[in-house]
Amino acid sequence: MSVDQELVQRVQAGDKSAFDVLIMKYQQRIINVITGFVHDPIEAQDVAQEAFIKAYRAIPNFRGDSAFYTWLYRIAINTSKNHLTARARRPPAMDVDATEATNIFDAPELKEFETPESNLVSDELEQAIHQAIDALQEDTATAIKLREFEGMSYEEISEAMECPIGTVRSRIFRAREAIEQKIQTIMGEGEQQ
Amino acid sequence: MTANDEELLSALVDGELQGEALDRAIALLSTDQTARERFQRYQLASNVLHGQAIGHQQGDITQQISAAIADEPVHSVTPVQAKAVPETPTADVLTFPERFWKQTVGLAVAASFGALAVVGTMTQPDYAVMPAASMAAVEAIPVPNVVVAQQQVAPVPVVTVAVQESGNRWTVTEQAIEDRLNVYLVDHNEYAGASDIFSNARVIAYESGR
Repeated sequence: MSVDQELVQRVQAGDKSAFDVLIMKYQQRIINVITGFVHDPIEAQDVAQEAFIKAYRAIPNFRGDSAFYTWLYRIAINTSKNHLTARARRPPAMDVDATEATNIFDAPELKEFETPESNLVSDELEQAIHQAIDALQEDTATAIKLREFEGMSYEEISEAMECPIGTVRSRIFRAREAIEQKIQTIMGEGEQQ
Repeated sequence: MTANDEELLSALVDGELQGEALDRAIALLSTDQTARERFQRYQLASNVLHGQAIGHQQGDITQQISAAIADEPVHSVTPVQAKAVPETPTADVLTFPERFWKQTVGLAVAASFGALAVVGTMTQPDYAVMPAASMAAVEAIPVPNVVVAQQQVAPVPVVTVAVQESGNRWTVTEQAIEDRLNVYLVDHNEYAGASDIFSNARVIAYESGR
């Protein structure tokens, strides 16, 4: 069972704090999706809140036939469209398939809503993260690359690198620490500006 | 927050926690603001590495949503109930994907339509397929040969119909050339554009006597 499934089951059983974890995990991506429809960032956050509240109310009916994020993504899209309709604005003509949800900003029809400033932040972050990975020890860099770029599980990485799962977990954590420091620096600079 | 806690959060980003470890991570995120911020940054890095651009500086909306759903009733659906499907005795039936049925129905409809069109064409008088506006002109022009060929396999039935006059047709006056053209057109009918309904039949004509 995936972590998402386990978290959903906990919410269904009455554990609201498990829903908080799902919000923390997916809020960035959901806000990004909604920003494709609702241009204003503050408005997009309001719509995201509405979408998450709808998801919480509907979660007893979620049976796990699809991935939780796919289900949440559809709720976010519908909420965005309803929001625009309520404000008598037209939603984008092209819908985006749920399977594209993971690479939503690859969709050209949504790309146009990004601003030069936001692209700069993303590019800067990506560059900093890659620099941080390049500066890592080889084993640590390999572990995070296999995880993030190849999508391998800890078990698969442990087999590929011929080391225990605990070691894989530690290496990935160390890589994240280095990346996190870079991100903090960029975010700090961004806030100062 | 200890290094172990941070490692726990890193594993949560990767979806590698189960049972007690997941309990600990949830408890940590519920009580420790630093842990929340750390988890968000781990998640942000992962999102960026997966090509999900960050459109703008985003705030954490978890607290607002938590406050909004605080008054919502607590769900009490057990995992077993959530997954429960009423079991009814079923026979062993071959199941096909929905796409299969869509394609089958589409083919059946297209085949029926095609058959109707062919039968309709065969049972009508030859001139019935003519546009009404060109009927008068037909009286005045010689009737050319038109061949309906069945992929060069079946014997070629010859049907005579008239063709509307147009200004850019070849003029065929010699019988030898006319015969050669007939043979050429029949031989090359397979290169004609396919249509959904008449995929096995082609109407080939040229205008003679002009």
